[in-house]
Amino acid sequence: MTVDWLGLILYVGGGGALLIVTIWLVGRGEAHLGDWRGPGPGRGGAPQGPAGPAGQIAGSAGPRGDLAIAAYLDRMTSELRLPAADAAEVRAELADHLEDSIASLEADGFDREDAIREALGRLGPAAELGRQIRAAHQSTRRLLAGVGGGVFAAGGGFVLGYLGGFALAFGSFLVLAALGGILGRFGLPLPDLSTSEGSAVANSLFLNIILAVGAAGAVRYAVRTSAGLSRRTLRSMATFWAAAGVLVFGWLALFGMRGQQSWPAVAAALCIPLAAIAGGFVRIERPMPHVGRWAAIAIAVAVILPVVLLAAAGASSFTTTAAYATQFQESDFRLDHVAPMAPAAWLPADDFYIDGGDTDYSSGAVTVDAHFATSVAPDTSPTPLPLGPILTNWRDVRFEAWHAIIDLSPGSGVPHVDTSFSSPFLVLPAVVHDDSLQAEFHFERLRDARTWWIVPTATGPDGNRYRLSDGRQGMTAFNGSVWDWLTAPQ
Amino acid sequence: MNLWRGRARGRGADMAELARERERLLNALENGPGGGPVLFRRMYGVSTAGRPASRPQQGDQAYLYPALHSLESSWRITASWLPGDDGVPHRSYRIGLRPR
Repeated sequence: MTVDWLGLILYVGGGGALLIVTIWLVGRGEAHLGDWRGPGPGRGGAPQGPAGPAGQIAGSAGPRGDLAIAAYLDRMTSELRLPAADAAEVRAELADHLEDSIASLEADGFDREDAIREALGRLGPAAELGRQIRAAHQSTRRLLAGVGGGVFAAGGGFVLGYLGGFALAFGSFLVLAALGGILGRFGLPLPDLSTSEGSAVANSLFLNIILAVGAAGAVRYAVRTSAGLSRRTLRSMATFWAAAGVLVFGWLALFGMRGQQSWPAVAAALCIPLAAIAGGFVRIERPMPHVGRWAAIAIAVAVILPVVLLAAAGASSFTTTAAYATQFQESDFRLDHVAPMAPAAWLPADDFYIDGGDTDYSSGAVTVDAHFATSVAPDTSPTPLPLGPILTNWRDVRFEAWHAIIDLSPGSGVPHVDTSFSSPFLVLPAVVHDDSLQAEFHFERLRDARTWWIVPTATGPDGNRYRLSDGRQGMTAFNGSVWDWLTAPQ
Repeated sequence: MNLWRGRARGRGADMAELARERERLLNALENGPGGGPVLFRRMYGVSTAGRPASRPQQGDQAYLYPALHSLESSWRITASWLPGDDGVPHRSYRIGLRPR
Protein backbone atom coordinates (compact mmCIF):
# COMPACT_ATOMS: atom_id res chain seq x y z
CA MET A 1 0.00 0.00 0.00
CA THR A 2 1.41 3.38 -0.97
CA VAL A 3 0.72 6.41 1.17
CA ASP A 4 0.24 9.88 -0.26
CA TRP A 5 2.19 11.69 2.46
CA LEU A 6 1.53 15.17 1.10
CA GLY A 7 -2.20 14.51 0.97
CA LEU A 8 -2.08 12.94 4.41
CA ILE A 9 -0.24 15.93 5.90
CA LEU A 10 -2.65 18.36 4.24
CA TYR A 11 -5.61 16.34 5.48
CA VAL A 12 -4.37 16.04 9.05
CA GLY A 13 -3.12 19.64 9.12
CA GLY A 14 -6.31 20.95 7.58
CA GLY A 15 -8.50 19.01 9.96
CA GLY A 16 -6.47 20.15 12.96
CA ALA A 17 -6.53 23.77 11.81
CA LEU A 18 -10.28 23.60 11.33
CA LEU A 19 -10.79 22.33 14.87
CA ILE A 20 -8.46 24.91 16.40
CA VAL A 21 -10.16 27.79 14.55
CA THR A 22 -13.54 26.39 15.48
CA ILE A 23 -12.69 26.16 19.17
CA TRP A 24 -11.37 29.72 19.14
CA LEU A 25 -14.49 31.00 17.36
CA VAL A 26 -16.83 29.08 19.63
CA GLY A 27 -15.02 30.55 22.65
CA ARG A 28 -15.38 34.06 21.21
CA GLY A 29 -19.06 33.52 20.57
CA GLU A 30 -19.76 31.92 23.93
CA ALA A 31 -18.26 34.95 25.72
CA HIS A 32 -21.28 36.99 24.60
CA LEU A 33 -23.96 34.42 25.32
CA GLY A 34 -23.56 33.52 28.98
CA ASP A 35 -24.11 35.65 32.04
CA TRP A 36 -22.06 38.82 32.07
CA ARG A 37 -19.65 38.48 34.97
CA GLY A 38 -18.83 42.14 35.22
CA PRO A 39 -15.64 43.88 34.11
CA GLY A 40 -13.32 41.07 35.17
CA PRO A 41 -9.94 40.07 33.72
CA GLY A 42 -11.62 38.25 30.87
CA ARG A 43 -12.85 41.60 29.57
CA GLY A 44 -9.57 43.37 30.06
CA GLY A 45 -10.75 45.41 32.98
CA ALA A 46 -10.53 45.56 36.72
CA PRO A 47 -10.92 42.33 38.64
CA GLN A 48 -14.19 43.24 40.31
CA GLY A 49 -17.67 44.00 39.02
CA PRO A 50 -19.29 47.44 39.04
CA ALA A 51 -19.46 48.41 42.68
CA GLY A 52 -21.55 50.96 44.47
CA PRO A 53 -24.66 52.61 43.11
CA ALA A 54 -23.89 51.75 39.49
CA GLY A 55 -24.08 48.09 40.28
CA GLN A 56 -27.27 48.63 42.21
CA ILE A 57 -28.81 50.77 39.49
CA ALA A 58 -27.81 48.22 36.87
CA GLY A 59 -29.85 45.65 38.74
CA SER A 60 -33.22 46.91 39.72
CA ALA A 61 -34.29 49.69 42.03
CA GLY A 62 -31.49 51.15 44.09
CA PRO A 63 -31.54 51.63 47.81
CA ARG A 64 -33.07 55.08 47.42
CA GLY A 65 -36.00 53.85 45.46
CA ASP A 66 -34.67 54.84 42.04
CA LEU A 67 -37.55 53.11 40.35
CA ALA A 68 -37.52 55.56 37.45
CA ILE A 69 -33.92 54.62 36.61
CA ALA A 70 -34.64 50.92 36.86
CA ALA A 71 -37.74 51.32 34.72
CA TYR A 72 -35.75 53.33 32.14
CA LEU A 73 -33.00 50.70 32.01
CA ASP A 74 -35.55 47.89 31.82
CA ARG A 75 -37.29 49.56 28.88
CA MET A 76 -33.98 50.23 27.15
CA THR A 77 -32.78 46.65 27.74
CA SER A 78 -36.00 45.19 26.39
CA GLU A 79 -35.31 46.89 23.04
CA LEU A 80 -31.71 45.76 22.86
CA ARG A 81 -32.36 42.17 21.80
CA LEU A 82 -28.68 41.41 22.17
CA PRO A 83 -27.04 38.29 23.62
CA ALA A 84 -27.37 38.21 27.41
CA ALA A 85 -23.79 39.20 28.23
CA ASP A 86 -23.83 42.16 25.84
CA ALA A 87 -27.19 43.38 27.09
CA ALA A 88 -25.97 43.20 30.69
CA GLU A 89 -22.81 45.10 29.81
CA VAL A 90 -24.70 47.87 28.00
CA ARG A 91 -27.05 48.14 30.96
CA ALA A 92 -24.12 48.40 33.39
CA GLU A 93 -22.42 51.05 31.25
CA LEU A 94 -25.54 53.21 31.08
CA ALA A 95 -26.13 52.77 34.80
CA ASP A 96 -22.58 53.96 35.35
CA HIS A 97 -23.23 56.95 33.07
CA LEU A 98 -26.44 57.81 34.92
CA GLU A 99 -24.67 57.58 38.26
CA ASP A 100 -22.03 60.05 37.05
CA SER A 101 -24.63 62.34 35.56
CA ILE A 102 -26.88 62.32 38.63
CA ALA A 103 -23.95 62.91 40.99
CA SER A 104 -22.89 65.95 38.94
CA LEU A 105 -26.39 67.36 38.91
CA GLU A 106 -26.78 66.84 42.64
CA ALA A 107 -23.47 68.64 43.14
CA ASP A 108 -24.98 71.55 41.17
CA GLY A 109 -27.84 71.76 43.61
CA PHE A 110 -30.48 69.60 41.95
CA ASP A 111 -32.46 67.48 44.31
CA ARG A 112 -32.37 63.74 43.71
CA GLU A 113 -35.63 63.44 41.80
CA ASP A 114 -34.91 66.38 39.50
CA ALA A 115 -31.39 65.13 38.88
CA ILE A 116 -32.71 61.70 37.86
CA ARG A 117 -35.35 63.26 35.58
CA GLU A 118 -32.75 65.53 33.98
CA ALA A 119 -30.18 62.76 33.50
CA LEU A 120 -32.72 60.41 31.92
CA GLY A 121 -34.11 63.13 29.69
CA ARG A 122 -30.70 63.85 28.22
CA LEU A 123 -30.30 60.25 27.08
CA GLY A 124 -33.59 60.47 25.17
CA PRO A 125 -36.45 57.97 25.11
CA ALA A 126 -35.40 54.60 26.53
CA ALA A 127 -36.88 52.54 23.70
CA GLU A 128 -35.23 54.68 21.03
CA LEU A 129 -31.88 54.50 22.83
CA GLY A 130 -32.19 50.70 23.02
CA ARG A 131 -33.00 50.47 19.31
CA GLN A 132 -30.09 52.74 18.36
CA ILE A 133 -27.61 50.76 20.44
CA ARG A 134 -28.95 47.52 19.03
CA ALA A 135 -28.49 48.84 15.48
CA ALA A 136 -24.95 49.88 16.39
CA HIS A 137 -24.12 46.42 17.68
CA GLN A 138 -25.80 44.43 14.95
CA SER A 139 -23.77 45.78 12.07
CA THR A 140 -23.50 44.10 8.69
CA ARG A 141 -19.82 43.51 9.32
CA ARG A 142 -20.60 41.59 12.50
CA LEU A 143 -23.34 39.67 10.71
CA LEU A 144 -20.86 38.56 8.06
CA ALA A 145 -18.35 37.64 10.76
CA GLY A 146 -21.09 35.69 12.52
CA VAL A 147 -22.08 33.79 9.40
CA GLY A 148 -18.45 33.00 8.56
CA GLY A 149 -17.75 31.93 12.12
CA GLY A 150 -20.95 29.91 12.10
CA VAL A 151 -19.80 27.96 9.06
CA PHE A 152 -16.52 27.08 10.78
CA ALA A 153 -18.33 26.25 14.01
CA ALA A 154 -20.74 24.05 12.06
CA GLY A 155 -17.79 22.07 10.73
CA GLY A 156 -16.34 21.61 14.20
CA GLY A 157 -19.76 20.90 15.67
CA PHE A 158 -20.35 18.24 13.05
CA VAL A 159 -17.06 16.54 13.93
CA LEU A 160 -17.88 16.60 17.64
CA GLY A 161 -21.43 15.46 16.99
CA TYR A 162 -20.16 12.72 14.68
CA LEU A 163 -17.97 11.37 17.46
CA GLY A 164 -20.78 11.71 19.99
CA GLY A 165 -23.14 9.98 17.59
CA PHE A 166 -20.67 7.16 17.10
CA ALA A 167 -20.45 6.67 20.85
CA LEU A 168 -24.26 6.82 21.13
CA ALA A 169 -24.84 4.37 18.27
CA PHE A 170 -22.14 2.00 19.44
CA GLY A 171 -23.45 2.09 23.01
CA SER A 172 -27.02 1.55 21.80
CA PHE A 173 -26.02 -1.50 19.79
CA LEU A 174 -24.14 -2.92 22.75
CA VAL A 175 -27.22 -2.43 24.93
CA LEU A 176 -29.44 -3.98 22.25
CA ALA A 177 -27.10 -6.94 21.91
CA ALA A 178 -27.19 -7.49 25.66
CA LEU A 179 -30.96 -7.06 25.65
CA GLY A 180 -31.28 -9.52 22.78
CA GLY A 181 -29.30 -12.08 24.74
CA ILE A 182 -31.57 -11.69 27.74
CA LEU A 183 -34.80 -11.71 25.71
CA GLY A 184 -33.57 -14.73 23.75
CA ARG A 185 -33.46 -16.72 26.95
CA PHE A 186 -37.16 -16.01 27.36
CA GLY A 187 -38.01 -16.95 23.78
CA LEU A 188 -38.25 -13.36 22.52
CA PRO A 189 -35.33 -12.96 20.11
CA LEU A 190 -34.51 -9.60 18.49
CA PRO A 191 -34.18 -9.44 14.68
CA ASP A 192 -31.22 -11.44 13.35
CA LEU A 193 -28.48 -9.03 12.26
CA SER A 194 -26.15 -11.74 11.02
CA THR A 195 -27.94 -12.04 7.66
CA SER A 196 -26.83 -9.80 4.79
CA GLU A 197 -30.10 -7.88 4.90
CA GLY A 198 -30.03 -7.57 8.67
CA SER A 199 -26.48 -6.31 8.72
CA ALA A 200 -27.25 -3.83 5.92
CA VAL A 201 -30.14 -2.42 7.96
CA ALA A 202 -27.99 -2.25 11.08
CA ASN A 203 -25.16 -0.51 9.22
CA SER A 204 -27.53 2.06 7.73
CA LEU A 205 -29.13 2.74 11.12
CA PHE A 206 -25.69 3.07 12.67
CA LEU A 207 -24.56 5.59 10.05
CA ASN A 208 -27.79 7.58 10.16
CA ILE A 209 -27.69 7.87 13.95
CA ILE A 210 -24.14 9.21 13.71
CA LEU A 211 -25.10 11.69 10.99
CA ALA A 212 -28.22 12.83 12.87
CA VAL A 213 -26.20 13.66 15.98
CA GLY A 214 -23.55 15.28 13.78
CA ALA A 215 -26.20 17.43 12.08
CA ALA A 216 -27.63 18.50 15.43
CA GLY A 217 -24.14 19.37 16.67
CA ALA A 218 -23.32 21.33 13.52
CA VAL A 219 -26.45 23.48 13.69
CA ARG A 220 -26.16 24.01 17.43
CA TYR A 221 -22.54 25.19 17.22
CA ALA A 222 -23.36 27.38 14.23
CA VAL A 223 -26.29 29.03 16.02
CA ARG A 224 -24.44 29.80 19.22
CA THR A 225 -21.23 30.95 17.58
CA SER A 226 -22.88 33.14 14.96
CA ALA A 227 -25.24 34.66 17.56
CA GLY A 228 -22.31 35.54 19.78
CA LEU A 229 -20.18 36.95 16.97
CA SER A 230 -22.99 38.87 15.27
CA ARG A 231 -24.52 40.05 18.58
CA ARG A 232 -27.91 38.64 17.71
CA THR A 233 -30.26 36.60 19.81
CA LEU A 234 -30.02 32.84 19.69
CA ARG A 235 -33.59 32.42 18.49
CA SER A 236 -33.17 34.78 15.57
CA MET A 237 -30.05 32.95 14.40
CA ALA A 238 -31.61 29.54 15.07
CA THR A 239 -34.21 30.07 12.36
CA PHE A 240 -31.56 30.84 9.75
CA TRP A 241 -29.25 27.98 10.68
CA ALA A 242 -32.08 25.47 11.05
CA ALA A 243 -33.19 26.33 7.52
CA ALA A 244 -29.62 26.00 6.26
CA GLY A 245 -29.25 22.71 8.16
CA VAL A 246 -32.43 21.32 6.63
CA LEU A 247 -31.19 22.22 3.15
CA VAL A 248 -27.70 20.80 3.59
CA PHE A 249 -28.49 17.73 5.66
CA GLY A 250 -31.82 17.18 3.91
CA TRP A 251 -29.97 17.06 0.60
CA LEU A 252 -27.38 14.75 2.11
CA ALA A 253 -30.05 12.45 3.55
CA LEU A 254 -32.18 12.36 0.40
CA PHE A 255 -29.62 12.38 -2.39
CA GLY A 256 -26.11 12.36 -0.98
CA MET A 257 -25.82 8.93 0.61
CA ARG A 258 -25.95 6.03 -1.79
CA GLY A 259 -25.90 2.40 -0.88
CA GLN A 260 -28.14 -0.37 0.34
CA GLN A 261 -31.44 0.97 1.64
CA SER A 262 -34.32 -0.34 3.70
CA TRP A 263 -37.43 1.20 5.20
CA PRO A 264 -35.90 1.50 8.71
CA ALA A 265 -32.78 3.09 7.20
CA VAL A 266 -34.86 5.47 5.10
CA ALA A 267 -36.89 6.48 8.15
CA ALA A 268 -33.68 7.09 10.09
CA ALA A 269 -32.21 9.11 7.20
CA LEU A 270 -35.29 11.33 7.10
CA CYS A 271 -34.72 12.06 10.79
CA ILE A 272 -31.37 13.72 9.96
CA PRO A 273 -32.85 17.08 8.85
CA LEU A 274 -35.24 16.91 11.83
CA ALA A 275 -32.22 16.48 14.10
CA ALA A 276 -30.71 19.58 12.49
CA ILE A 277 -33.84 21.57 13.41
CA ALA A 278 -33.82 20.20 16.94
CA GLY A 279 -30.13 21.11 17.29
CA GLY A 280 -31.00 24.73 16.50
CA PHE A 281 -33.90 25.13 18.88
CA VAL A 282 -33.96 22.57 21.69
CA ARG A 283 -32.36 24.02 24.83
CA ILE A 284 -30.25 26.30 22.66
CA GLU A 285 -29.74 28.65 25.62
CA ARG A 286 -27.62 26.05 27.41
CA PRO A 287 -23.90 26.87 27.14
CA MET A 288 -21.70 24.65 25.03
CA PRO A 289 -19.29 22.37 26.88
CA HIS A 290 -15.78 23.71 27.05
CA VAL A 291 -13.39 21.93 24.69
CA GLY A 292 -9.74 22.39 25.57
CA ARG A 293 -6.60 22.11 23.48
CA TRP A 294 -5.83 18.47 24.37
CA ALA A 295 -9.41 17.47 23.78
CA ALA A 296 -9.16 19.03 20.32
CA ILE A 297 -6.01 17.07 19.56
CA ALA A 298 -7.63 13.85 20.76
CA ILE A 299 -10.67 14.58 18.62
CA ALA A 300 -8.52 15.29 15.58
CA VAL A 301 -6.68 12.01 15.98
CA ALA A 302 -9.91 10.09 16.64
CA VAL A 303 -11.56 11.53 13.52
CA ILE A 304 -8.73 11.58 11.06
CA LEU A 305 -7.03 8.25 11.73
CA PRO A 306 -10.08 6.04 11.12
CA VAL A 307 -10.84 7.93 7.91
CA VAL A 308 -7.31 7.37 6.64
CA LEU A 309 -7.40 3.71 7.59
CA LEU A 310 -10.81 3.20 6.04
CA ALA A 311 -9.73 4.93 2.85
CA ALA A 312 -6.75 2.62 2.68
CA ALA A 313 -8.95 -0.40 3.16
CA GLY A 314 -10.88 0.37 -0.04
CA ALA A 315 -14.44 -0.31 -1.05
CA SER A 316 -16.29 -3.59 -1.23
CA SER A 317 -18.68 -4.87 -3.85
CA PHE A 318 -22.30 -5.58 -3.24
CA THR A 319 -23.38 -7.83 -6.11
CA THR A 320 -22.58 -11.49 -6.15
CA THR A 321 -23.27 -14.29 -8.55
CA ALA A 322 -24.74 -17.36 -7.03
CA ALA A 323 -22.63 -20.48 -6.69
CA TYR A 324 -24.18 -23.71 -7.74
CA ALA A 325 -24.60 -26.58 -5.43
CA THR A 326 -22.41 -29.41 -6.62
CA GLN A 327 -25.17 -32.02 -6.92
CA PHE A 328 -28.35 -31.08 -8.74
CA GLN A 329 -30.77 -31.97 -11.52
CA GLU A 330 -32.16 -29.46 -13.97
CA SER A 331 -35.62 -29.93 -12.56
CA ASP A 332 -34.30 -28.61 -9.25
CA PHE A 333 -34.13 -25.16 -10.81
CA ARG A 334 -37.94 -25.26 -11.25
CA LEU A 335 -37.57 -23.38 -14.52
CA ASP A 336 -40.66 -25.02 -15.99
CA HIS A 337 -42.53 -22.66 -13.68
CA VAL A 338 -41.32 -19.89 -16.01
CA ALA A 339 -41.95 -21.65 -19.31
CA PRO A 340 -41.29 -25.08 -20.83
CA MET A 341 -37.98 -25.57 -22.60
CA ALA A 342 -38.12 -24.84 -26.31
CA PRO A 343 -38.39 -28.00 -28.47
CA ALA A 344 -35.04 -28.93 -29.99
CA ALA A 345 -36.64 -28.98 -33.44
CA TRP A 346 -37.06 -25.21 -33.36
CA LEU A 347 -33.48 -24.57 -32.23
CA PRO A 348 -30.36 -24.92 -34.40
CA ALA A 349 -28.90 -28.43 -34.34
CA ASP A 350 -25.52 -28.98 -32.70
CA ASP A 351 -25.45 -25.40 -31.50
CA PHE A 352 -25.86 -24.22 -27.96
CA TYR A 353 -27.09 -21.13 -26.28
CA ILE A 354 -24.61 -19.14 -24.19
CA ASP A 355 -25.93 -17.02 -21.33
CA GLY A 356 -23.35 -14.31 -21.40
CA GLY A 357 -23.42 -11.08 -19.53
CA ASP A 358 -21.76 -9.05 -16.87
CA THR A 359 -22.34 -6.97 -13.78
CA ASP A 360 -21.19 -3.37 -13.57
CA TYR A 361 -20.02 -3.16 -9.98
CA SER A 362 -19.96 0.64 -9.94
CA SER A 363 -23.59 1.07 -10.93
CA GLY A 364 -24.94 -2.38 -10.11
CA ALA A 365 -26.42 -2.84 -13.61
CA VAL A 366 -26.69 -6.42 -14.83
CA THR A 367 -26.25 -6.79 -18.58
CA VAL A 368 -27.31 -9.81 -20.56
CA ASP A 369 -25.40 -10.63 -23.72
CA ALA A 370 -26.55 -13.98 -25.04
CA HIS A 371 -25.88 -15.71 -28.30
CA PHE A 372 -25.88 -19.07 -30.05
CA ALA A 373 -22.61 -20.73 -30.96
CA THR A 374 -21.33 -23.85 -32.59
CA SER A 375 -19.63 -26.46 -30.49
CA VAL A 376 -15.89 -26.19 -30.87
CA ALA A 377 -12.84 -27.93 -29.57
CA PRO A 378 -11.80 -27.35 -25.95
CA ASP A 379 -9.65 -24.30 -25.20
CA THR A 380 -11.01 -22.35 -28.16
CA SER A 381 -13.60 -19.63 -28.06
CA PRO A 382 -16.99 -20.50 -29.57
CA THR A 383 -17.93 -18.54 -32.66
CA PRO A 384 -21.30 -16.78 -32.38
CA LEU A 385 -23.78 -17.62 -35.09
CA PRO A 386 -25.90 -15.07 -36.96
CA LEU A 387 -29.28 -14.80 -35.28
CA GLY A 388 -31.34 -14.12 -38.38
CA PRO A 389 -31.87 -17.76 -39.46
CA ILE A 390 -32.31 -18.95 -35.86
CA LEU A 391 -35.02 -16.48 -34.98
CA THR A 392 -37.19 -17.26 -37.98
CA ASN A 393 -39.07 -19.67 -35.71
CA TRP A 394 -39.36 -17.20 -32.87
CA ARG A 395 -40.96 -13.87 -32.14
CA ASP A 396 -41.32 -11.63 -29.11
CA VAL A 397 -37.94 -12.65 -27.72
CA ARG A 398 -37.52 -11.24 -24.24
CA PHE A 399 -35.69 -11.66 -20.94
CA GLU A 400 -37.82 -12.35 -17.89
CA ALA A 401 -36.47 -11.63 -14.39
CA TRP A 402 -38.01 -13.88 -11.77
CA HIS A 403 -37.55 -13.86 -8.02
CA ALA A 404 -35.27 -16.71 -6.99
CA ILE A 405 -34.34 -18.47 -3.81
CA ILE A 406 -30.59 -18.51 -3.55
CA ASP A 407 -28.76 -19.50 -0.42
CA LEU A 408 -25.00 -19.52 -0.63
CA SER A 409 -24.43 -20.88 2.84
CA PRO A 410 -22.78 -24.32 3.07
CA GLY A 411 -25.18 -27.22 2.91
CA SER A 412 -28.00 -25.19 1.46
CA GLY A 413 -30.18 -26.43 -1.35
CA VAL A 414 -29.96 -25.83 -5.08
CA PRO A 415 -30.92 -22.29 -6.09
CA HIS A 416 -34.26 -22.20 -7.88
CA VAL A 417 -36.98 -19.96 -9.18
CA ASP A 418 -39.34 -18.83 -6.43
CA THR A 419 -42.54 -20.57 -7.43
CA SER A 420 -44.63 -18.50 -5.03
CA PHE A 421 -44.65 -15.80 -7.71
CA SER A 422 -46.84 -16.36 -10.75
CA SER A 423 -45.16 -13.77 -12.97
CA PRO A 424 -41.75 -12.19 -13.49
CA PHE A 425 -41.05 -9.00 -11.62
CA LEU A 426 -39.35 -7.42 -14.59
CA VAL A 427 -39.49 -8.12 -18.32
CA LEU A 428 -37.23 -6.53 -20.91
CA PRO A 429 -37.44 -7.11 -24.67
CA ALA A 430 -34.29 -8.59 -26.10
CA VAL A 431 -32.38 -6.16 -28.26
CA VAL A 432 -31.48 -8.26 -31.28
CA HIS A 433 -28.06 -7.65 -32.81
CA ASP A 434 -26.41 -9.60 -35.60
CA ASP A 435 -25.24 -12.41 -33.36
CA SER A 436 -26.43 -11.59 -29.84
CA LEU A 437 -29.46 -10.83 -27.72
CA GLN A 438 -28.91 -8.07 -25.23
CA ALA A 439 -30.66 -6.34 -22.35
CA GLU A 440 -29.65 -4.31 -19.32
CA PHE A 441 -31.33 -4.85 -15.96
CA HIS A 442 -31.13 -2.34 -13.11
CA PHE A 443 -32.03 -4.54 -10.16
CA GLU A 444 -30.10 -2.14 -7.94
CA ARG A 445 -32.93 0.36 -8.44
CA LEU A 446 -35.66 -2.06 -7.35
CA ARG A 447 -36.54 -2.38 -3.67
CA ASP A 448 -37.34 -6.09 -3.72
CA ALA A 449 -35.24 -7.62 -6.48
CA ARG A 450 -32.52 -9.06 -4.21
CA THR A 451 -32.20 -12.57 -5.71
CA TRP A 452 -33.07 -12.92 -9.37
CA TRP A 453 -33.12 -15.39 -12.22
CA ILE A 454 -33.08 -14.07 -15.78
CA VAL A 455 -34.62 -16.44 -18.32
CA PRO A 456 -34.72 -15.82 -22.09
CA THR A 457 -38.13 -16.68 -23.54
CA ALA A 458 -39.81 -16.36 -26.89
CA THR A 459 -43.06 -17.25 -28.56
CA GLY A 460 -42.74 -20.31 -30.79
CA PRO A 461 -44.50 -21.23 -34.08
CA ASP A 462 -47.38 -22.80 -32.10
CA GLY A 463 -48.09 -19.51 -30.32
CA ASN A 464 -46.89 -20.72 -26.95
CA ARG A 465 -44.06 -19.15 -24.97
CA TYR A 466 -40.95 -21.22 -24.35
CA ARG A 467 -37.69 -20.62 -22.61
CA LEU A 468 -34.63 -20.64 -24.82
CA SER A 469 -32.20 -21.66 -22.09
CA ASP A 470 -31.81 -21.93 -18.32
CA GLY A 471 -30.64 -18.32 -18.05
CA ARG A 472 -28.51 -16.99 -15.23
CA GLN A 473 -29.08 -15.96 -11.66
CA GLY A 474 -27.55 -13.77 -8.99
CA MET A 475 -28.14 -11.40 -6.11
CA THR A 476 -28.24 -7.62 -6.22
CA ALA A 477 -28.92 -5.37 -3.27
CA PHE A 478 -30.63 -2.04 -3.74
CA ASN A 479 -28.00 0.60 -4.43
CA GLY A 480 -29.13 4.19 -4.48
CA SER A 481 -30.14 7.18 -2.48
CA VAL A 482 -33.11 7.55 -0.17
CA TRP A 483 -34.84 9.44 -2.97
CA ASP A 484 -34.18 6.53 -5.34
CA TRP A 485 -35.69 4.19 -2.76
CA LEU A 486 -38.79 6.33 -2.26
CA THR A 487 -39.38 6.69 -6.00
CA ALA A 488 -38.45 3.09 -6.90
CA PRO A 489 -41.12 1.31 -8.99
CA GLN A 490 -41.59 -1.45 -6.43
CA MET B 1 -46.79 57.32 1.45
CA ASN B 2 -46.27 60.65 3.19
CA LEU B 3 -45.93 58.85 6.49
CA TRP B 4 -43.30 56.56 4.99
CA ARG B 5 -41.42 59.54 3.53
CA GLY B 6 -41.57 61.25 6.87
CA ARG B 7 -40.13 58.19 8.59
CA ALA B 8 -37.45 57.83 5.95
CA ARG B 9 -36.50 61.48 6.40
CA GLY B 10 -36.44 60.90 10.14
CA ARG B 11 -34.13 57.92 9.75
CA GLY B 12 -31.92 59.90 7.41
CA ALA B 13 -31.65 62.71 9.95
CA ASP B 14 -30.82 60.15 12.66
CA MET B 15 -28.11 58.63 10.50
CA ALA B 16 -26.61 62.01 9.70
CA GLU B 17 -26.60 63.04 13.35
CA LEU B 18 -25.10 59.67 14.32
CA ALA B 19 -22.36 60.12 11.72
CA ARG B 20 -21.54 63.59 13.09
CA GLU B 21 -21.45 62.22 16.63
CA ARG B 22 -19.04 59.48 15.51
CA GLU B 23 -16.72 62.07 14.01
CA ARG B 24 -16.86 64.19 17.17
CA LEU B 25 -16.10 61.13 19.29
CA LEU B 26 -13.11 60.15 17.14
CA ASN B 27 -11.76 63.69 17.50
CA ALA B 28 -12.29 63.53 21.26
CA LEU B 29 -10.53 60.19 21.47
CA GLU B 30 -7.50 61.66 19.71
CA ASN B 31 -6.81 63.31 23.06
CA GLY B 32 -6.72 60.01 24.91
CA PRO B 33 -8.99 57.25 26.09
CA GLY B 34 -12.07 57.84 28.19
CA GLY B 35 -15.54 56.71 29.11
CA GLY B 36 -18.84 58.08 27.86
CA PRO B 37 -19.12 60.97 30.39
CA VAL B 38 -15.48 61.99 29.91
CA LEU B 39 -15.78 62.01 26.12
CA PHE B 40 -19.00 64.00 26.27
CA ARG B 41 -17.28 66.66 28.37
CA ARG B 42 -14.42 66.79 25.88
CA MET B 43 -16.77 67.15 22.93
CA TYR B 44 -19.07 69.82 24.31
CA GLY B 45 -17.09 71.37 27.16
CA VAL B 46 -19.88 70.53 29.54
CA SER B 47 -20.30 67.91 32.21
CA THR B 48 -22.77 65.11 31.83
CA ALA B 49 -24.96 67.32 33.95
CA GLY B 50 -24.33 70.13 31.47
CA ARG B 51 -23.04 72.52 34.03
CA PRO B 52 -20.66 75.28 32.98
CA ALA B 53 -20.49 76.06 29.27
CA SER B 54 -24.02 75.63 28.06
CA ARG B 55 -27.37 74.55 29.34
CA PRO B 56 -28.13 70.86 29.14
CA GLN B 57 -30.77 69.92 26.58
CA GLN B 58 -33.21 67.07 26.52
CA GLY B 59 -31.82 64.29 24.36
CA ASP B 60 -28.42 65.89 23.77
CA GLN B 61 -26.74 62.60 24.84
CA ALA B 62 -29.07 60.41 22.83
CA TYR B 63 -26.45 59.67 20.17
CA LEU B 64 -23.48 59.34 22.52
CA TYR B 65 -23.72 55.61 23.25
CA PRO B 66 -25.13 54.53 19.88
CA ALA B 67 -22.18 56.30 18.24
CA LEU B 68 -19.66 54.78 20.66
CA HIS B 69 -21.02 51.27 20.16
CA SER B 70 -21.22 51.80 16.41
CA LEU B 71 -17.54 52.78 16.30
CA GLU B 72 -16.70 49.77 18.44
CA SER B 73 -18.62 47.33 16.24
CA SER B 74 -16.90 48.75 13.16
CA TRP B 75 -13.59 48.01 14.88
CA ARG B 76 -12.41 51.64 14.90
CA ILE B 77 -12.28 51.89 18.68
CA THR B 78 -11.89 49.39 21.52
CA ALA B 79 -13.63 49.31 24.89
CA SER B 80 -12.47 47.88 28.18
CA TRP B 81 -13.46 48.24 31.80
CA LEU B 82 -10.78 50.21 33.65
CA PRO B 83 -10.78 51.41 37.23
CA GLY B 84 -11.31 55.18 37.58
CA ASP B 85 -9.92 57.56 40.20
CA ASP B 86 -12.51 56.27 42.64
CA GLY B 87 -11.36 52.69 42.04
CA VAL B 88 -14.68 51.79 40.45
CA PRO B 89 -14.40 50.29 36.94
CA HIS B 90 -15.81 52.36 34.10
CA ARG B 91 -16.11 51.38 30.46
CA SER B 92 -13.35 53.24 28.70
CA TYR B 93 -12.81 53.67 24.96
CA ARG B 94 -9.65 54.17 22.96
CA ILE B 95 -8.75 54.28 19.28
CA GLY B 96 -7.39 51.04 17.91
CA LEU B 97 -8.25 47.37 17.83
CA ARG B 98 -6.43 46.00 20.87
CA PRO B 99 -7.49 46.87 24.44
CA ARG B 100 -4.66 47.82 26.81
